[in-house]
This record gives sequence, C-alpha cells and structure tokens, in this order.
Amino acid sequence: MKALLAFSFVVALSFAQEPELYVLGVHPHGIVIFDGTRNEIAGQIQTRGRAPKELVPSPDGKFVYTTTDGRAKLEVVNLETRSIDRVLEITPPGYRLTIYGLVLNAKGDRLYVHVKPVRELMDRYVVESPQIWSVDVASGKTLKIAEVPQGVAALALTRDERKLIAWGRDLYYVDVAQNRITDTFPLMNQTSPTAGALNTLALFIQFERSGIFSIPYYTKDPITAKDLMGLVNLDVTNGKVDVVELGSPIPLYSAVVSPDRKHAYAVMNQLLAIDLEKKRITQVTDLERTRYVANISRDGKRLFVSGAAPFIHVYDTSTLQLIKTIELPGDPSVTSFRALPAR
Amino acid sequence: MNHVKPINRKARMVERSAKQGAGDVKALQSLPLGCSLIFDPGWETDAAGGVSGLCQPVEADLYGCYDDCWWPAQVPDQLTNYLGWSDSCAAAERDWRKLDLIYPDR
Repeated sequence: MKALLAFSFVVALSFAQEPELYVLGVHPHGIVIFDGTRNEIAGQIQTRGRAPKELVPSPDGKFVYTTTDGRAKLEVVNLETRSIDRVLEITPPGYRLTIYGLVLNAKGDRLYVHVKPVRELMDRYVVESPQIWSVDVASGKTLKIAEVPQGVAALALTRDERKLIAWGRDLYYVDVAQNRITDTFPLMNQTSPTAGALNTLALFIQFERSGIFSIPYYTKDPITAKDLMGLVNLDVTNGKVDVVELGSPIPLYSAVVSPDRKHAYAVMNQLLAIDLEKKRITQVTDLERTRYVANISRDGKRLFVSGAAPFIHVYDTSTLQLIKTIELPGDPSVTSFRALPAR
Repeated sequence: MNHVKPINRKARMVERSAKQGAGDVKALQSLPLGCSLIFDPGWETDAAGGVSGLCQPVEADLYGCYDDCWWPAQVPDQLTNYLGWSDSCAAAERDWRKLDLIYPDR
C-alpha cells in the first residue's frame, strides 16, 4: 500500500512538474516553443519556408506539422532535435497548392489536408476544385478523399475518425469511408427565412484543451434587423454544433473554450470572458493591441493571448488581469497557437 | 470589332466571358462587422465608418494581411513577386523601417 501511495505521489509530482508547452509560428522563418508553466520561451526552431501558419502536433508531442511559404509547403518539425526533419512533397508537378486545413489522426500516421490546387500552365492558371486529401506521413503519398465547396479554412476529425469536418461557409461533414460530403450544418446558407446567415472566420484553431472548436459569428436577424454576434461551438469529438448567441456585436477574431467547457474567452481589440452555461458575456477588458488568437492552460486558470504583434500576454482567467508579457522574436501573424500533448 | 475573331483558346474564353457578362457581385455589406472578417475593406474604416473595429496598431496587422494575400493591392504579394519583401523585418510594429521598398517593373 505504501509502495502504491509512493508511486501515485511520484506520478502526481511528475505531472505537476511537467511543463505545459505550446507552439506558435513567428515571422519570417520560425516556430517558438512556449513554456506555459514558467511563462517563458523554451526554444525556437528555424523553418525552411516563410511564415508558419497551421500547426498540428503529433500525439506523442515529438513532432509538429506546419504549413509555410504562403500555406504551400508542409514541413515536419522535430521538437526533440529542434530542426526540420523533412518537407512532405505533396504538390503534383505543374501545380501550386494552398493548404487551409490540416488535421492528424490519433495514431499519428495520417494527415488530412484541405488543398486549393492551381494548375500552372504556360499561358494561364487553372483553378481546380478545393479538395481534401489524406497524406501518409511516412511516405508522403496522397489520396483524394473528396471535393468541397470554396471557402474552407479549417479541418477537424471526429474521435471515431469516420468524419472529417470542413469549416467553410457552412460546416461540411465528409465521410472518410464514402469519400463524399454526407451532411452539412448551415452557417452562411441558412434554410430558414427566420435565421440570418452566420458569418465565421475559422482561421484560428485551438481546441485541444476542451475538444470544442469555437469560432465567433456575426449575423443580422432577418426579423428585427438587429446585428448580433455569438459563438459557433463545434464539438470535435462527435461533430455536434452549439450556436451560442451573445447579443450586440463586438469585433472578435477567435475564441477558446476552457477545459471544463463552462467558459470561453474571445479576443480581438478586447478580451471577453463568456459563461457558456448562462450564454452571456461576463467580462470585457480592453487589450493594449489587437490580438488574433488565444489558448488556455491545462487547469483553465491562465489565458495565453497572441497573434499579430510580437508578444504573448498571459491573463488570469478569473479576473482578466494581465499577469505577464513575453516578447517574441517575430510577429506571429495569423499563426495557430497550439498546446502540445503531455508526454 | 465584328471583324476580329478569336484564334486561340484564351481569346475564345475572353469572348465567351464578355458575352455572358460578369453578373452581380454581391459583397457582404449586409453583415455587421468590417475589417478582414467580412469585406476586406483595407485599413481605411471599419463597418461603422470608424476605426475602432480595425486592428491596432496598424503595423501589427501587416503580416496578417500580407501572409495570406488578403489585400493584394495594399501590400506586396508573397506568393509570386515579392517573396522576400519582409524577411529583414521580423516584427512590423517594432521594425517597420526595415521593410523593403517595392518598385514595380515598368
């Protein structure tokens, strides 16, 4: 019994001491590893392409997959050696790809990417339909899954890995086995005359703490003609959507949901705290500069706010008081800001 | 012009496009928020005609617009012509003086 207690203590201690690590891209050629336990930069990695955008960690936390060079390159970042392992060559000859949407399966051997292919001919460019491909991580071989409408910005994969969810003008549910869109959740293309179009910008993807991919929406009520805002909360574990209306618009870029799923925090020129159970904004504070993106600590007590200018600001989620500002070597711009899995 | 005939595929495409007309282009001005969320109006004003809904300071938003080429008329494009335009300026808010000047070829 004593041995069991001692083992439990050691496990608990190691969990408590294990740093919470986050990754984000910085201009012009870098990835920053941020230690959210100590609130300091833990390392930097030089990328081959410019301006890393989407970042997807592997399940073991040893690698990060990132898009660079205008979302055209797909780089494999080794976090242990702090270097680029390789570039996945997925672009067919004569094409240019733009990648908006990147997700990895739980086993870590298959990436799904949403690509916008452009065929570069001698006298013209031919824009081909946006499509989702699967990429074998080991070999780099690609397989077309399905074509999707224009406007997709992000991808998610349900826990059972049967459905890919493409976030565009609407939410498209792609059955991986059937290779086609089997369901659509309307956002911009509402079917009811009493529902206004929900306009979203799914560029900032951080749902690893809660499993909820939350994006602010803006709409005009077709009956009252009032402008409204809220959150579209997509549960990436099962694909269910909750639309949370929050009232008059406040400009926002992105949101993150707390690990207990009771609160959300959204940023642009203000930082908002939102009670998801009561469906209302509980606190608003002005930020000293525009921020694009936020992530949240494992215990939900600290908020890490970044994007745009070269800083990470750490806030206390209970008071929205600024705890610390960390200067970055470059602008994070429109980067993802992802939490690495615990090892 | 009636005597001008298209002789290649591109010219036939231009003629076909001219006959079909461009159709109505509907911006999303009926929706409430400006800046890059809706209509990409640039740095001039937000949807309410003010600036409080825009990014602040403007330099902080520079690469957000440049990297994804949302505003190709306002900043050099990073996809084709000016790949290294901002390589010497890691942080636009801090180091904007290091940005290269662009002189388009005449």
